[in-house]
Amino acid sequence: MILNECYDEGLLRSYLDDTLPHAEQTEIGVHLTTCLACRVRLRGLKALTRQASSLLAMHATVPDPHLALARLQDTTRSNGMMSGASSKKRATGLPTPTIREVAETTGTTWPHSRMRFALTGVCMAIAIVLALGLSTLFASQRSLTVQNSGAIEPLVPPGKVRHFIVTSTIPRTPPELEVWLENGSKHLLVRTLDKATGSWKLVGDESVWTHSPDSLSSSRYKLDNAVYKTPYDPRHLYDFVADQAYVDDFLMQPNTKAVTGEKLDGRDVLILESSSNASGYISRVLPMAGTTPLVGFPQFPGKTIQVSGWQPSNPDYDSVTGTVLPVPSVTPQIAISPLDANGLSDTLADYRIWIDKQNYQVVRKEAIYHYPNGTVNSTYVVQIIKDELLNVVDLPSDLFTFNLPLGLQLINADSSFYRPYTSLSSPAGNPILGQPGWFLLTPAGGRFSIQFPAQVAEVSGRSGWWIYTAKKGDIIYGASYQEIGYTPPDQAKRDYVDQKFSTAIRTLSLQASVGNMKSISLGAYVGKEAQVNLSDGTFGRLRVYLAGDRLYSIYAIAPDEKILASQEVDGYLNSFKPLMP
Amino acid sequence: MPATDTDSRLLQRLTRGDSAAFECIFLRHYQSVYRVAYGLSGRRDVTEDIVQETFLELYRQPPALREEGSLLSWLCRVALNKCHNSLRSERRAQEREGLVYVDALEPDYNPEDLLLKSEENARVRDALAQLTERQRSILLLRYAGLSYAEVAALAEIAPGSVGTMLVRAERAFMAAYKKNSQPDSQPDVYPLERAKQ
Repeated sequence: MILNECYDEGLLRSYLDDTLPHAEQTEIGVHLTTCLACRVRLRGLKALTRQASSLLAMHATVPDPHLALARLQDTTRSNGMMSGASSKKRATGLPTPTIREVAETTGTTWPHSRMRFALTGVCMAIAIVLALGLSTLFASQRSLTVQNSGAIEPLVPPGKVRHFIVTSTIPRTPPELEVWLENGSKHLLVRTLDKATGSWKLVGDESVWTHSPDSLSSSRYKLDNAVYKTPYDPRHLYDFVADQAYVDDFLMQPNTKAVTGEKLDGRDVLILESSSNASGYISRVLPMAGTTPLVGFPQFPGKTIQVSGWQPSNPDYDSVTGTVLPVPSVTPQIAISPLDANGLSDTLADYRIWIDKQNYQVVRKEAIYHYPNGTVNSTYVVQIIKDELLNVVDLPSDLFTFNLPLGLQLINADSSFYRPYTSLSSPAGNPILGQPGWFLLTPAGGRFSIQFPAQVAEVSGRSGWWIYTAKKGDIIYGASYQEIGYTPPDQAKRDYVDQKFSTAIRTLSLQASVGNMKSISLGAYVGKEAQVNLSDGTFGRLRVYLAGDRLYSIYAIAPDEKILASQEVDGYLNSFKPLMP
Repeated sequence: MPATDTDSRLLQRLTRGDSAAFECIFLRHYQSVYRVAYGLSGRRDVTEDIVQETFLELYRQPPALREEGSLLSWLCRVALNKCHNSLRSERRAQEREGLVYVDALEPDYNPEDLLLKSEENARVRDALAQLTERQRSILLLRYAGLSYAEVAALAEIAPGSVGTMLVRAERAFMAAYKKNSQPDSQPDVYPLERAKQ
């Protein structure tokens, strides 16, 4: 049984093609913002469609329709096929083409081109909706007036997450991004000026993001640069943010917080803030000292704006961030921070261009993966072109070399929120008297105890998220907890656990099937359990408990379903006890 | 004539004997109909005949359509029927004479380009040939620009199944294409040889 709150591929395909009813299209769009599994499936479908359409388009090279029409007319004239037609005018054969009057061949638009930006539209609308909503923290104005203010430089375009381009000219003029709603607040539009061509461009290659007063809706596309300058009404944006599940999910992310007490037009407003871009739907507006504004919203002078949102083409990294380098002539040098004491790290890090060895500017936040052999999974190269253009591009890993004279410097590798995975030097757990082979684990700071049927052999994690595992025979036992940053109210705990349980299962496997799912409790702590059949053929029993501001997961995984029904597994799962202060 | 005339207005004019309306319809929908027909037949000469006949049928007997956008659906339906008829008759002729048709060479290509293109086309054609008739139709109709409802009507499936069947068809198509791209894979003769099987 596929998790019922996810959508099957047929529906996702329909969503891509924007063929579903408005309500359903909206529902899926919202679901996608919180469901990595569906986003991954969607990305696969999009790639599949793109490949198929590309092949089919190439396959059928269509002759010039005008020539075909002329041939048809010649044929009809020569063999008198038109005799007996329903009108005298047509009885003499088909007319000679009058190309001047001919309509464009609109019927040949291939579906994939229409769908190409459907999800981009939805997700970016969400991201920008949030960004605009948060922006009121800093803005006194309630409306946005669109202005074309002189020289404007291209931005790091939303949707081009892994392609970072900074164009530098001296003196630098703050670039500008314009956002407004079209036609009575129905369409959210974003555009930038392409300096190379001097033309305005709607962000996302001519995308127009549709946004209804009630909720986010699907996308529509305009292939021209026509714009509609109507006042921006932020109330619509907050309507979307006010979804409780969305807020809960947002606050699950590290380093997030909700700010209350703000009012907008007399209405209570909830502001969501985050300083992390590790998740897919974070936005913020904040001042960054010493940084030239990247996005020059007229109402936010001097601010740097970060808009984040997941992209169907790249769901793994969701941030759209950019900072202009105000440096006329740079000689960046590459330096990668050393690995941690264990020779490995998995960390969210700041990249900075190292300029003249003194002047640093943050150009990008990105995750980077270091492995003991020294390879880097995410690779970037900085190139200097004509002393003006910094071009940071994605390259295959085999093109990356530490010896490049130019590059990025990794700094802040051990941030306060992400620290490298570490391994304990000695196994955890104390032997239990009268129960040979069992060990009692009460990790420091874990606020729980559990009895493992074997010695805990591995502990990994980072701040706020720890995992303890042990292996006995074919069974892997595991316990983990995650700090969620706040304690959900009593009335919301059950829903919260239900939602997180599904997420946990999806994390285990996109193709997991679930059975025997039921709600459980442990004293005052609500939970959920199920048996999971993973896509690799193994089986698992999983329990999740919410205790205070922590979410605990207790599980056992085995190659045989029968093994999991043993008393040993029952004993392990039942031995878990939260130890709340 | 305004370039924005709807299909239904053009049809009304065609019914009244306005030949310029036919030109507009032809130029508007020629590419889509051609792609569908070529995808099914795999041969340009056959495709051009089918497309010509399809539009001639429109010219002789313009349909009475109510819904906007359904003209393309009607054209595709006619083209589909003509393709199936053509395939049947070609198959009979081939069985009778033992002939295997190959696609006509296209003008304006240098030999290398032509070779590469013909090989690529052969792989795509063969991949299409390995689909079921329904999968092939769904794929081609959708990629010709028909709506889900129109695809469902022509393929005789439930509208709610189009998304699912489309994904399956795309998967099958890509799998067949990749298989055909293997070095030891020989392009099939499409679709006449397969039709004999």
